[in-house]
Amino acid sequence: MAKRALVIDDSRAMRTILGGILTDLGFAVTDAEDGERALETLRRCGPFELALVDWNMPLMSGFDFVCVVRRDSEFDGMRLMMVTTETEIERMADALEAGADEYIMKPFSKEMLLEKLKLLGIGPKNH
Amino acid sequence: MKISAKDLLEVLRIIWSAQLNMELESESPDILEDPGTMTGIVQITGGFSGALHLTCSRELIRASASRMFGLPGEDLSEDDLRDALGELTNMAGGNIKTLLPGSDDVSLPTVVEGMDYGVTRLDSLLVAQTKASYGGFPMIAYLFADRKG
Repeated sequence: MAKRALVIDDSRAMRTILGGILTDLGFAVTDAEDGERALETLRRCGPFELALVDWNMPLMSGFDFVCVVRRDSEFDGMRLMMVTTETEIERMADALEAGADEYIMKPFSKEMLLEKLKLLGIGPKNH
Repeated sequence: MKISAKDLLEVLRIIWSAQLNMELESESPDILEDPGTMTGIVQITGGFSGALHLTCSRELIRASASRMFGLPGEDLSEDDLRDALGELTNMAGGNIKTLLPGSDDVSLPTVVEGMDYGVTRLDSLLVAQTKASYGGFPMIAYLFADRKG
């Protein structure tokens, strides 16, 4: 059974790019356009193996999403990667402290994302 | 740190190259002669307060969105083009922000279509502008800084 990944980004273009890469890697991909809808998806579908989370979104930011998810032990096993233009050390430190496992900066190549997934132990070599 | 036209061009080149595998040229035809344009706008706030305007040929955005959505250009909707330009403007704003220490936030993007409009950012200065193109289709980026704030 395919591992499940949740892609959260307000841009359909970015959801398409990220979803395409993850589908190629064998993930079953679901997407959401903001943090609130992503939480609804989690409540409906249960934990995913991986969530790629944009930072800057309407209704609920990616940072707030990470904080909410990490308060619920049901989702302890989910790997959370911020996908963002945010590169300031302080902001990333806040995200990691809130429970994000990794981050990648936009723009990124497919190879850069694969390297980050490997760091999380869910890259191609681990499939 | 001041942002130069060269910095602005480099940010755009990196975004189009890394994300879309498209190499932008620094030479560009006059965008005012382009029959259809779209403009993405983001606000940057914090230690640096201002805005980035990215005006692109519709055909340049169509080519970019085609890469992003993995669809032929003719199959893309107007919404797809707006979404793609909004995301690319957001990326550009975010990457420029990293060159401006103390900047806190980049707003969600606004997309405007056509050239028959005026935008005035009150009490701000144009601090950098650059042209670029892809396949002969132009874009121009403007970075404005607020005088106060």
